[in-house]
Amino acid sequence: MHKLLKYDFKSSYREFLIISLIVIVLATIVGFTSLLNIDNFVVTIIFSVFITLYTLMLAAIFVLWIIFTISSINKKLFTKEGYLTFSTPISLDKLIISKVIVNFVWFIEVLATIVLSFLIIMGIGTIKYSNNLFTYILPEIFSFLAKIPLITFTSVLKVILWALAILMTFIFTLAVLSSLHVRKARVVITIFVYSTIFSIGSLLISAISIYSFGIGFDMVNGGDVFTAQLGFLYPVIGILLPFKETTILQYFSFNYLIGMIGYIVGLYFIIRFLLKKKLELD
Amino acid sequence: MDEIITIENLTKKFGKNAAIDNLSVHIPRGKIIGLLGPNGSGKTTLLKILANLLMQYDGEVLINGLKPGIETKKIVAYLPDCNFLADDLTVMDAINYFNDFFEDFEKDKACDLLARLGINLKSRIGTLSKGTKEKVHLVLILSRNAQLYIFDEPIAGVDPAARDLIFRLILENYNKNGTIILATHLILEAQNILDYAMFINGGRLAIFDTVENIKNNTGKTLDELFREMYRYGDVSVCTNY
Repeated sequence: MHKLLKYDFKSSYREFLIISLIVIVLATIVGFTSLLNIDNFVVTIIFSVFITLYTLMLAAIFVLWIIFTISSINKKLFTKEGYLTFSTPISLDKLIISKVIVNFVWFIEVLATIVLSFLIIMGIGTIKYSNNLFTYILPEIFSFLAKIPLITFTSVLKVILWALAILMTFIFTLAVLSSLHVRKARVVITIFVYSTIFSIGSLLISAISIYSFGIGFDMVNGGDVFTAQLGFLYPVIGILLPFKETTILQYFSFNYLIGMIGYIVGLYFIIRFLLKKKLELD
Repeated sequence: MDEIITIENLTKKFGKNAAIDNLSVHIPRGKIIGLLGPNGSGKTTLLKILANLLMQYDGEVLINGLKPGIETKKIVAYLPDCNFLADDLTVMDAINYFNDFFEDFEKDKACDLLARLGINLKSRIGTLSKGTKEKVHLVLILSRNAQLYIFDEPIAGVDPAARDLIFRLILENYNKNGTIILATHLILEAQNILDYAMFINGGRLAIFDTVENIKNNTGKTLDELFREMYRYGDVSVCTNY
């Protein structure tokens, strides 16, 4: 498995490192320009240009992750490169899991880049104040998170499950298109189709969450509480909507956890079936 | 007879069309077998099944006594009729990949062969000419001490001089205890190196015998027989089989 991961990382690291470097450089520039005299017209223009570029790159970095991920999985598994991939003595499970692990790591790298870029901007922008990033903001954030350990943990878990579900949806969509002999514009079609499949999956997961048990945030007293909620839930990262009229905001539903795991495992076995029984290399 | 491949009643359908239709054959070990047939006769489908790229079929296929799978991939060296190396890989990356994943791969042999062919190990695959890419692919496959080599149209699309070179490379470098299955429709160039010929037509086995027996029984060379069978559709020429 580690050899497979090595080659998968090797074939994709350039794009992600370049994008991350650009975001970090832009964040640094934005941080330093924010220290300059904002009343100066030229400084304002420069600051506006870099903050716009930075914002665009933040928006682009996830889109690029989606495109690169779909493109690399397609190339390795479903194009001519698949002849080498599938004639190499590796099990189907290792092939699928290695693709998920590699692209999950890049997802984490993208997230880390975004967080780091925020910290750079805030760190540089607040450096002249006594209550700066390191003396006030970060300690406050960590102190708050320490008060809600369950919600912190389940939020991280939810992001992980979301990323894994998205990756499985990519591979599933590509495998279906391949088995249907769709050879042209497979990557583009996947980019447009995967969100529909994922939305249907999310809807099904929500359907089992009509009456859900989970972990909530007590908005009056602060801190974690176990909670039960009746009502249709639409899962988004970190939070489950809608807000209740009570003082408890449901953060994480166990039904949702089971649903997400079911979705991921279900797709995994369907992908495995498609690769074993319906593989159609270009 | 010691067999490397046993195929019994193999049928592979795509939709309602049978690419392989109830094919049975026993392929002996240590021989060079020509898999002969026109385009669309089922050659590539059969080879993909042997290489375990197609796993859904009816009938039985055994390679060295095993069903196609991870264990057979360790002893089968498969060269498809397309470039399977990523353009952004260097030749050395490709060698390292084979060295990492195939226990029977001889890295020194690959480097030596590529050096003899004047191919720079640092070149990216995408920058190589079509002929050079084919040579790199061939060297990678031949640098394995495989028990079964599968070549799908290795000489299609290359000039006559390169064809000679490819045949020479194959004959000089394959594991002599191994078996070669060579799919081609360029019989004239291939017929001199073959021990056995396997003619397939419409997914069915038409002839499987030694080249010598085929010549004796039909009074024709493989090339002549191929042209009669496939150009004129005269399958009666194989009545002796």
